[in-house]
Amino acid sequence: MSTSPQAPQNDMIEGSGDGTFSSFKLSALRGRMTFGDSIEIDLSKRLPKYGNNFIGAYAAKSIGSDGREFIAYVCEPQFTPRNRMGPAVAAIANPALLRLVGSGLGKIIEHHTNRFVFIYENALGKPIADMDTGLTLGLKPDRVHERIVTPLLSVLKDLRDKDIVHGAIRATNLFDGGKENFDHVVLGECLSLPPSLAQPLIYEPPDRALAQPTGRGMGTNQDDLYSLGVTLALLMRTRDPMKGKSEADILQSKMQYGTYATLLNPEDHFPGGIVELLRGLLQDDRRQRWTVEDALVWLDGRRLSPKQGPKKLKAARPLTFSGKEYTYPGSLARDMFQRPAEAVQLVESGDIQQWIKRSLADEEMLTRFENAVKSAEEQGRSGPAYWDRLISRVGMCLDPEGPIRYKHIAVTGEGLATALAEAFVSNRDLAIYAEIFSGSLLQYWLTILTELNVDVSLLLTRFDTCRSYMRQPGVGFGLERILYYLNPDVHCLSPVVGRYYCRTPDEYIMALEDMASDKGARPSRIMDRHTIAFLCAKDRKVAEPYLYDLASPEPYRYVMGTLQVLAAIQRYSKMTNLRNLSDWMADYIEPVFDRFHDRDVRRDLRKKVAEIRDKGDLPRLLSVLDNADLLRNDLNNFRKAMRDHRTLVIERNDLAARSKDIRNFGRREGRDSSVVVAGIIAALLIVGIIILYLNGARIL
Amino acid sequence: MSRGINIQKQLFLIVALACAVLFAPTTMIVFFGMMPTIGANLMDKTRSKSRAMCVGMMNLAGVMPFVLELWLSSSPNSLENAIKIMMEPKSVIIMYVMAATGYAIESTVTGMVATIMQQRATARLKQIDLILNEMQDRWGYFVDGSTKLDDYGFPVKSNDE
Repeated sequence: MSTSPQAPQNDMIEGSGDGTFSSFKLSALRGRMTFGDSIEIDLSKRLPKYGNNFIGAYAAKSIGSDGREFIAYVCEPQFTPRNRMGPAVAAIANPALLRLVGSGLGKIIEHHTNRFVFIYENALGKPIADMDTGLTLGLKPDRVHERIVTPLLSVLKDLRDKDIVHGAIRATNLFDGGKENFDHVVLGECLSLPPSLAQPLIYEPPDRALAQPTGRGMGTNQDDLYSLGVTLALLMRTRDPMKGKSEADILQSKMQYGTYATLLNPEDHFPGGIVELLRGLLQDDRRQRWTVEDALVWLDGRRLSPKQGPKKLKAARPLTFSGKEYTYPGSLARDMFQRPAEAVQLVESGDIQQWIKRSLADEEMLTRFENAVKSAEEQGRSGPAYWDRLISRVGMCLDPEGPIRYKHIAVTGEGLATALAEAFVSNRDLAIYAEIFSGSLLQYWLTILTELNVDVSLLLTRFDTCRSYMRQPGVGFGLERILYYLNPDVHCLSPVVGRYYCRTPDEYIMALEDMASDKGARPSRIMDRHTIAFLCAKDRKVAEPYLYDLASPEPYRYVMGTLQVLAAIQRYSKMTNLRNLSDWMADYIEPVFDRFHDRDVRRDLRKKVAEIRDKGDLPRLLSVLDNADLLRNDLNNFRKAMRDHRTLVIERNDLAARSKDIRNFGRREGRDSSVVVAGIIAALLIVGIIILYLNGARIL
Repeated sequence: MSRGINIQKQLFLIVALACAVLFAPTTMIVFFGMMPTIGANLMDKTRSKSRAMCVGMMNLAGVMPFVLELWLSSSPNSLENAIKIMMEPKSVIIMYVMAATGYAIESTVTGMVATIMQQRATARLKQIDLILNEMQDRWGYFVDGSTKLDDYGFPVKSNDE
């Protein structure tokens, strides 16, 4: 008997990009993990009944004398937890919801590794079911009503009030709270994974089930209500009508006959009240599905008639594709996506257009189809890339409420973000995402949503921003920037600090401070595309002004840009005492000294840096080097030195040339001097002789 | 203008000739006394004629006493006294020794000055080499301007670097 939910089967996941997803293995963590100062997590003590294939639950206890025990969910880097929702969930005091004690970084200090952890009260007890697929507990409807529906609807109301989607309501995530007879049913945790990631397909509405688990997006409270409806159906039914069928068959049945008919056997006769609830919750059309308010009204005893969903669009005559006959366009869209080569032939032959026109007789779909072909042709009309664009758009046209399908990924509009994050961490092919964000696929998808009267303004803004980021190839932009823009919960995925799980600039700089304590482990480059994009997304003012320097191939510019960013973070966050980091940066900025021509200036700068290297003050370190006047004077002095050098060389060459003619060197000056000497002597003699003769002296 | 100069020169020559005739005794002493200067002037091929000037100035100093002797005698500027002076060996010796002294001054001073200047040049060359080395140490090898520099005064890197 399995103690954790089944991983979704590979054939159930539309996106083959998730090929390694189902074989995901939890990280093997070692060492002593602490959460804050008060809780210790025992990584050697797994609690498999509380975890699943994608999240590990561990025993934790208070370090203090009270020795309270907790359950710690240690998040995997691949799957971004909803860490910002921790405080809101912790504020919910509902006995039917597992109480969140705290959330934040769990630290394994000896390995310099952090993980995001959620600490819950140890009050779950045992799961009320060991598996999800094929579950038939046959519980009495009255008992389910009293012991499960009532407490869970109160939880959903609390979640709705705080604008939180649970995203993990399923039988295996319901626990007995340590009591018998469902006296205290508790709903398990929901924050450690992206919404719906660990949900088996059966719990997801068909439109979300078609998306890959990593790309289902946040969803709404109505999706939680649907999951609750499925959970109730599985708990109460006595027989599984889809016994032995694969999840793909179940999904196909849901799409064709509806969820209610798929999950419940006609032989199961439930009281009218419960049937109303199930029909309300299991509506496949989310516009007809009950809201929390509707369910609460039902709980108060007022009977509501479940709204009748619109009739599914069905073709008068089937279309043959890949040997199968299709009457529902949604099913065709799904299978076209899985067999693209044959799908291209189908579209190019014009059969599908005829089928929409004549058998489906849907004018809107025909318009969408024509727009799809036009949109695909915008970037050219040849080669496999065109086929990918064409199949993707035709799929959306046939199934407008389905996911965005492109190549081997299938995601919802919101789920694109979490799928991108998982792709980054798992080193998947990112070119697909680059094509999606830079092409016009998303814009085409939004036109379909507009036709369905969905408010797309937020998504439009978001996708336009992503497209502008893709158009800028430099650091701080591109796919990395989109990753952090769309996923505020994602930690910095840079290989330099990835293991520290930094979610804010402050945590980033503290990670560098920790790294700097080991001089041997200091990397040669601190800031890469991930780090820069992360910081730009988190706080523009600490990184964007320095993008030019950070992108420069000149080492001194890059180093200076790095120091400027780190100093800005320290300045804005008012952190002090970054001694290790300032010591590291004092060595790191060596290329900056070489930008001063004057050896004496370099010596003075090195001296000043040496004086403050252990002060832990990066802005001060920056102020020593970031001196425009000093740099300008240095350049002016260098130019003057060049001129002096040239003058001296000319003088030396002149002297050297004249020195070669040793017989004549200096003779001209010598002759001039001799004339002067002779002139002075002669003048003195003449004056003397005249004086002597005037005084009567005679020579003869 | 050249015509005016010629007139001036001609006038000067006329006046000089008139003086020479008028003061023939003095002219005779000066002419014979200054013979070394005339010879030095003919032999000195330098442009500055420094040797001729040295010899001439000292020669003049040597002739001066005998000119004074002629003029301050009882019959000033008489041809008889002039011949008497010129016939005196002492007169010729003094005048020609003084001319030789001028020659000696020219040779000695020129040699001394040339030697001093050569020594100073050698010392200056060494000093310049020292200064240039010091400049390269302080400002970098490219201060000599032999390398193409960027706007910031640093060598432009080639594409291979």
